[in-house]
Amino acid sequence: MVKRKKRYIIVETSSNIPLDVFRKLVEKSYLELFGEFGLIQANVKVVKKIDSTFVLECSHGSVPKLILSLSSITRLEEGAIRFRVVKIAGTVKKVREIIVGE
Amino acid sequence: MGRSYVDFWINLDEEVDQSEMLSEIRKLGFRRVVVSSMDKARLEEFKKLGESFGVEVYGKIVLVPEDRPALLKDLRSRRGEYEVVSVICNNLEVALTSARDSRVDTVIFPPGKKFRIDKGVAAVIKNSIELPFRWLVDETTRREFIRLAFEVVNHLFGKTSIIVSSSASRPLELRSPFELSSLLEVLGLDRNVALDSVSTIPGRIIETNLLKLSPSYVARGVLRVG
Repeated sequence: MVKRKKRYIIVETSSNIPLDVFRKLVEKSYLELFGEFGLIQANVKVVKKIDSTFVLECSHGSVPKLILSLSSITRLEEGAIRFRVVKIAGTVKKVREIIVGE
Repeated sequence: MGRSYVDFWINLDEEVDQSEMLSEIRKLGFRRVVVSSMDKARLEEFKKLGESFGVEVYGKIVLVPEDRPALLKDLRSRRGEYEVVSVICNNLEVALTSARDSRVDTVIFPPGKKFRIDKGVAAVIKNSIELPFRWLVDETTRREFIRLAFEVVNHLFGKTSIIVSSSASRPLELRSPFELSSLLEVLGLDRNVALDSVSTIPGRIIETNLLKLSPSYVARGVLRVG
């Protein structure tokens, strides 16, 4: 079986939100744009949270879709929120280097 | 050398903290922005402030004409005042005229348009198509905008160039070049082609227009030297 390639997306949020809320927001947005099949194919997982920075894991082919979903999120309940994609990395080691280097 | 990213539309009609806007633009990685504002003084102020942030600012006028004569009248009177001219086409008559007029730089189709983009439009189009990202972010226009973007990519890609701009009026509405280009990537374009829509294509339009507005410009292909 061919090993599926993964990508890690480092995302910065404009306000500090809990990991669960972040995951729900991302999944909801992805679901709205690409549907149930898309969400399962993308295999989106929230790997880590450091202050207002999150690390997301997804399949290699779903990176543009996930970026589009992230950038279409503008509201959290009544307040405005924005997610900024900082970097895309292929390995956890690289993610660590980027976060330490910031 | 890396790409020089351009945000081809920032709307400054609303009152915003200009320093915050510019620092956000710089942080997102843009070196050049094109700004539209009804208030010319505000536009000039933004241009001056842009220099201190290392961001080149150019002026843009967005025309929303009702018919062909109104469009031609607006173009005659305002072309020389701004670096970039865009037209929002609410009907087919305006779309067909603005698509082939050399004074227009980009054509914008609104999400709820009442005409189809088909072979007829594709046959005459010469100017670039602009897709404002704000319409994707706004939930009320999202579905129509995605449909429009699909139509544009299916019928017009290869015949003309496509530009994605943020059309942001507040710092929170700004998006990075990768976020903007992801729209075209999702619609099936190659990553490099998608990135061209926020870098080389708008950059080329700005450079051409700066040359046109310079005093040494005589006619297309003719420059006064010395």
